[in-house]
Amino acid sequence: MAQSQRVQVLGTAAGALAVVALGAGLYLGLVVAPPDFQMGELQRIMYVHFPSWIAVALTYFAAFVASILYLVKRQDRFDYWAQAGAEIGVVFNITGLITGSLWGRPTWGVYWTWDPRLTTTAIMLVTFAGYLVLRGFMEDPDTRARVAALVATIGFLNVPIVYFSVKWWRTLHQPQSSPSTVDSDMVRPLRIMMVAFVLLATYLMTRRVALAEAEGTAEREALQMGAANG
Amino acid sequence: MDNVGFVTASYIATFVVLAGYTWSLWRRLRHARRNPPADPKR
Amino acid sequence: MTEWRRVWAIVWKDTLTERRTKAAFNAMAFFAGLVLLIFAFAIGPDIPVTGPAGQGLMAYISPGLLWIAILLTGVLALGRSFQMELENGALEGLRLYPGDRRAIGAGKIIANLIFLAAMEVLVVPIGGVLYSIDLWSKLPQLGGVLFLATLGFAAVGTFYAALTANMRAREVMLPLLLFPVMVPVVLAAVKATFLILNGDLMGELSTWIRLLVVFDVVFVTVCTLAFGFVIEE
Repeated sequence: MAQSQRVQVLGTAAGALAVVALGAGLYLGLVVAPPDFQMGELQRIMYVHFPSWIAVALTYFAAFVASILYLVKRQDRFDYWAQAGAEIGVVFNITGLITGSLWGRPTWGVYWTWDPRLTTTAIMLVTFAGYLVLRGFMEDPDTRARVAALVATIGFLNVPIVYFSVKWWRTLHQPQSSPSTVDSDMVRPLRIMMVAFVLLATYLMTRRVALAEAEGTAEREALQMGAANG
Repeated sequence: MDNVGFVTASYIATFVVLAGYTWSLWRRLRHARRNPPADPKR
Repeated sequence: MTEWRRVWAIVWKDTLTERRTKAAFNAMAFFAGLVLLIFAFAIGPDIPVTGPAGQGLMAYISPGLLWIAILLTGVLALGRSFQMELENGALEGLRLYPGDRRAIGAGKIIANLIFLAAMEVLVVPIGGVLYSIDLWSKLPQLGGVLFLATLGFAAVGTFYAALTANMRAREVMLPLLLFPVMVPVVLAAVKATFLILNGDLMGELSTWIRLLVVFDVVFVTVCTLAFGFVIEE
């Protein structure tokens, strides 16, 4: 228990820092940074768009690692982390897709193109949303944790294969935007927002784990009471 | 919608989703802590 | 070697059950034919659009139509393959047999591969006739693509069918989990089928074949190795 309390304290610290960093990033991104000379004001979408994907990568990867650890070690806490990673990943996946298509409309003229990254992230969303739906349909905690861990593992392994298949399918694609090619007034808010989103994702993960832990403990106790009564 | 509109819309959408999720997480957490085992949810 | 005998015992058991009852296969074949017909009604053979080679619209888009029909029919068949094991506690019996449980997974994957292949042997010619696709001269290459794509489909599909077998709402959950994973297979299979039917001017076919091979290697390995986790308890 001491360890999980320490995690919560770390989470609170990450949350507080996230608020500070979000404030600084918003100020730098919306006020200080000049409009991009090619994309103009649209450039500013990048400060929330790209950090969303960093948070998605982090949380889904956490869900994948926790799922493997659950299959090997069979401790409930890994199941809690996997669940938290998937759920928060879905949230950032949604913000990433919304900002991406709001960026796409004025840039490419359409809200949606079958760009490899866009398509892969949509498949990721469907995969992990399916994972969350699956959890809702299973009652036994051990079976649910095991089945969910397997689904998360397969789903995560599939992501690179989806990416390359869509890339070859759509041979036309935009080169990746890399932060090194843009002006430092634009790099700074981007970096700060990335840190802010990672901190926010960390904070949310710790709270989601706490929730899963409370629910999981309650579920176990209810099962034990049911077994004792019936 | 002009470019500033798209920028505004993305920031609003992002922060509405994130704040909404955070708020719902707080609420669920408070609920789970207030009435623990006595009220089995599933 | 003894593991292979276990694998073949499972394959034999499943194919024997199916040969004796024919229940699933007849329903599957009928359903697949129906899906192909529905496409013709929904899209319409008379739309005055023709492909670059002057073929009709249905023939032009037939690779996609065929693979959707195979996917929809296949997911029904896969769902049944573990449904069958749950009746009368047959899966409990399988679990009690000595030896490696991965053999059960491999056997089930091979059995499902055989069912799906048998279904395709019917579906593809029916599609060829209905949509007037010129596929008769290209059957060997088509067979190769069908085999590679169906192997990946059978591997992941068997794995997920086993995971969802005794679950509420399994009829929804199986496609919900399976289809996102099948995206690379569908893309590669449709592209490869299209290139075989319409000519491969740019030499792109090998890319898609390679993708199918990579998918098969990854997921046949993972799904077989992890099968022990699927049917434990």
